[in-house]
This record gives sequence, structure tokens and C-alpha cells, in this order.
Amino acid sequence: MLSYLIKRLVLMVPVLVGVSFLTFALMRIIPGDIVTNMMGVSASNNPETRARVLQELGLDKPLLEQYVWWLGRILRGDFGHSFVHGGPVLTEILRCLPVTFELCLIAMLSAIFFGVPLGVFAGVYSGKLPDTVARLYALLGISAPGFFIGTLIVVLGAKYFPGVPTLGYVPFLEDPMANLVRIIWPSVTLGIGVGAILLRYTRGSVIDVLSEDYVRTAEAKGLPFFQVVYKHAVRNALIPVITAAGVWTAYLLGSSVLVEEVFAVPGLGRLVLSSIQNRDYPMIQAAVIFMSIGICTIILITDILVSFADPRVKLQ
Amino acid sequence: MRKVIGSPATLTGSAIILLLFSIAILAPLIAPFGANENTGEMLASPSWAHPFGTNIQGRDILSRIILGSRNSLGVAIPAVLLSLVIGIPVGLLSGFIGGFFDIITNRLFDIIFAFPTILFAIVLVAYVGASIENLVVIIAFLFAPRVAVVVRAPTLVVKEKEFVLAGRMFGAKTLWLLRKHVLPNIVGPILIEASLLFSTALLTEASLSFLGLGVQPPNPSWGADLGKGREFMELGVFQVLFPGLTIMLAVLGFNLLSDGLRDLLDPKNRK
Repeated sequence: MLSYLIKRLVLMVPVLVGVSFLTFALMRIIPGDIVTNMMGVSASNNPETRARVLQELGLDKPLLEQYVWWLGRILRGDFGHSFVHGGPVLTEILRCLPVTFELCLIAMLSAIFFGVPLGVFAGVYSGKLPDTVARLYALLGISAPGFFIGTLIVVLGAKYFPGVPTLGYVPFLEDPMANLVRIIWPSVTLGIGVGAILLRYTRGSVIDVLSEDYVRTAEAKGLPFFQVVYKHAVRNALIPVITAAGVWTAYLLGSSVLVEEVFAVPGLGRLVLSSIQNRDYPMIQAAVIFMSIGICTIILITDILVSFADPRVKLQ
Repeated sequence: MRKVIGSPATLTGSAIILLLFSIAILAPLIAPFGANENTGEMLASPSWAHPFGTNIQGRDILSRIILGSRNSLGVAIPAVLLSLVIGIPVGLLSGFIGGFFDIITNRLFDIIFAFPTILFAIVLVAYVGASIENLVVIIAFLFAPRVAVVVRAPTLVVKEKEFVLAGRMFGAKTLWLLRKHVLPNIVGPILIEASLLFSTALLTEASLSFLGLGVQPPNPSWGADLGKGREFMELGVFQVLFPGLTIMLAVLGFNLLSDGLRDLLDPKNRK
């Protein structure tokens, strides 16, 4: 287990190096002069400002040296300073990270809560009415953009339920109740699409497993239908669903940008958007790196969970 | 062929897509008003004159949706085609030839997949600027690896088949083998992936425009109009409802088509 973990963590390194190189390269694809882009024409004509900005970005050295220097700084936890307020980028990121984490966690839980039982139900009764209804729901859930559903919740909520807060964020430790009342809306919005996808995975997997020999054997030896389905079939059917849930959590993290914007949730996604508007490049770089670390970690955790759920899968 | 027509999913999906294409082609002829024409009525509720209402600038929402279809499809279609043009050769080569090229492309894809598409797109747009051409290139760049992966897997299987080995024995060139033997065998997965990518491309364009990072107002775009409609949403839900429903319908159409194609072409689903 431990050696597997170390191996996987080592394998994460080339991906993260690649991501860091990409983020680093992004600085170079900005059309035109970066200093002018960031500071405006008048400031960029000032040689002192220009030198300071180039140094802050590490643009005053040869390319490869720049990258190594930049990477070294990041490895020491120095992500640079915000161009907007001058504070360390890391502080801001660490403030937003738990918000997005909570949002995605509740979203994933709601997706599993809706998607998996409905998927089992649809799979068991495949081809019958419950299946048709569940599949239709899944299709609509996959096709409805989160930012549309979210906007509708905000608009209709404000109009018909003025007492229910849907916008903003209250830290959990400050007021757990106020936190949950608000976070539930963006989370569910985010969870609908992934829930629909999990429904489809679960359904397909249940149908596959129900046609396996051991299920037929279990039926043949006279076990009640309920027991066959829930003891034999579903437990095995859920293993591929765990993998799917892990992969789609990564997707969730991406979509959270839009949902955070709609519900005014001060998470990482909204930080990226406001940094983009302000051309706060160090902030964008740091956010990108943190998100990819998050995604790599989620996928690692998923693989470990699968190995626990399925003794046939060996961690190697 | 009967199966294609017989599947209600494929049929509905194709009908929706056909409708969208016709609307996009005929847009200037069927739109009752110009995209930026002030009709004199601000924030009018849906009526016979304005079936979807008007926005804060007095522009007819239905007309903007009709004319906006050109921007939405105008990003999605070239983007997906470009991703196919890049992704298919890369996938074929990495699957068929393998070796160093295969290793390099796969590591590169791992990096691209380590990041959510929409976030990647947002960041890229932030760096290169929002324009229709940039959107097309960015979406194609992000989708090409997905195409390559979809192409690579069946290529690996077909490569080992006897007919390919026989062809090779007769001295057939790699390019000829790819074109004559491999490509026809992987058309199915490519079609399924392409239809799925169309819905994702539409959604990506709509999301970026919604955030103000895609098609720029006053150009009509479903996503941007939905985003703009939010500012005055308490004055009428119709401002966000109709652009949103249009996006949903378009995405639904391509999803249905891809489901139908999958049922049809995937041997696992054949009954």
C-alpha cells in the first residue's frame, strides 16, 4: 500500500511538471508586450516599473533559467504577489480553496445521492417505465447547462421565495446553518449534471452485472430477487461507478467556476475569473497549479477507493 | 438503415439538429427583427409581436436567438472539424506506429486531461483574447487529444488484424494501410465522439460567452445573452429562460444523436 502510494505520487510529478510548464508558457503567449498589457501604456514607458515587473515575473533571464527559477520559487511555496493588491498570492488561494472544496464535496454527494439509486432502479427495471423515466431525466440533466439552472434558481428564488438566501457564502465555522442554507443551491446545481452522468454509468453497469453467470446462479438457487440484486449485483456494479465518480469530480471542479459566478460564491473559480479581469497573472498561475494538484489527488484517492471496494484490483 | 430511422433518440436528435442548421442558414430571412434593432419596447413580456420578449435595450430576444445560432454553430462546427483534422492523424500515428511518438503524445495528453476543459479554455482565452477565431482554435486544441485517444485505441486493435499484416506482407505503404484498412474500421467511434464533441463545444462556447469571455456583445450569442439577461433578471425571467432553453435544446440534440449512434455502432449494445 505504502509503496504503491509513493509510486503514484512519483508518477504525479511529470504531470505536475508538465502543468507547471504549460502555465509558465502561458505567460509567453500573451499577444503584445506583457508589461504594457498589465500596467497600461504610461506605466510601461517608465523603465523602473518595467524592470520591476519583468523581475517579478522572472522575464529578465533566459527562458530555461526563467522556468527553473520560477519552479524553484513555487516549490518553496512562494507563488509571487498579486498585481492588484500586492499581497501574497498563496494567502488568497488558501482562503478560497476550502470554499470550492466544500462546494464540490456537497455537489458530489448530492450527485451520488440522486444518481446512484436511480441508476440501480433503472438498471434493475431496464426497458420498463421506471427506466424510461430515469433515462429521460438523465438526458435532460446532462443537457442542461449548470449556469442556466443556477440562474433560474437565483431568479425564481428571489421572486417567489424572497426569504430564502441563494446568493453569497458564509464560512461554516462562523454559522454552520447559514453556510449550509446557501451552499446547498450551488452544490445541487453543480451536482445535477454529474448525477445524471452517474445515473447512466450505474444503470449500464447494473445491466451488465445482472447478465453475469453468478447472478444467474444466485437466482437459480432460489434466493429472493431483492437479495440477488442488492447483495450480489449492485455491490459489484458500483465498482466502475466509483472510478466514474472520481473522473467526474475533476469535471465538477471545472464547472464550479461558472456556478460560483452565478451564485456569487467566493471560491477558487471566482478568484480565477476576477484575476482574469484584472490581468493578475501570478494569481491565475497559482490557481491553475492548485487545481491540477487537486485533480491529480482526487484521481489517486479514487484508485485507492476502488482497490478497497474490489479485492481483484491490485495496487501496483 | 432501418435501425437508424427506427431509433426515436436518433430521430429526435437529428430533427433538432436539422432545425438548428436550417435556422442558422436562414437566420437573416426568418428573424423578425435585426439583432441590434431597437424595437422601441424595453423589457416587453412575451407577446405575439415578440414571442420571447425584448431585452433592456429593446432588442427582440427571438431574433437574437435566431441570429445567434450562427455564432454558436459557427464556433462549434469549425472547432470540432479542426479537432478531428488534428486528432485523427495524431491518433492514427500514435496507435499504428507507436514508439517514441506514442509515448510523447500520451504524456502530453495526460497533462491536458489533468485539467478541466472549461477552466483551461477560460484561462487560454484570458491570455490570447476573446474572438470567434480564438474560440475555435482553443476549443479545437482542447478537443483534439480526446479525438486522438478515441482513434488510438481501435487502431491498436486493427493493427494486429490479419488483413493488415497481409497487406504489409505485400509491401503496402503505411499511409495506404491506414487509409484503406484502419480508417474504415474506426469510423464508428469517431462519429460517436464527434457528435459528443459538438454538444461539448456548444456548451463550452455558451459558457465562455456567458462569462463574457466568448462572443462579445452586441453580437448575438445564446450564452452571452443569458449572461447579460441576468443583470435585469428580476424584471423578467424570459430574458434568461429562452436563451437558456435554446442552449439546452441544441445540446440535447447532439447528445441524443450521439446516444443513438452509440447504440447503433457499439457492438456491446447490439441486441
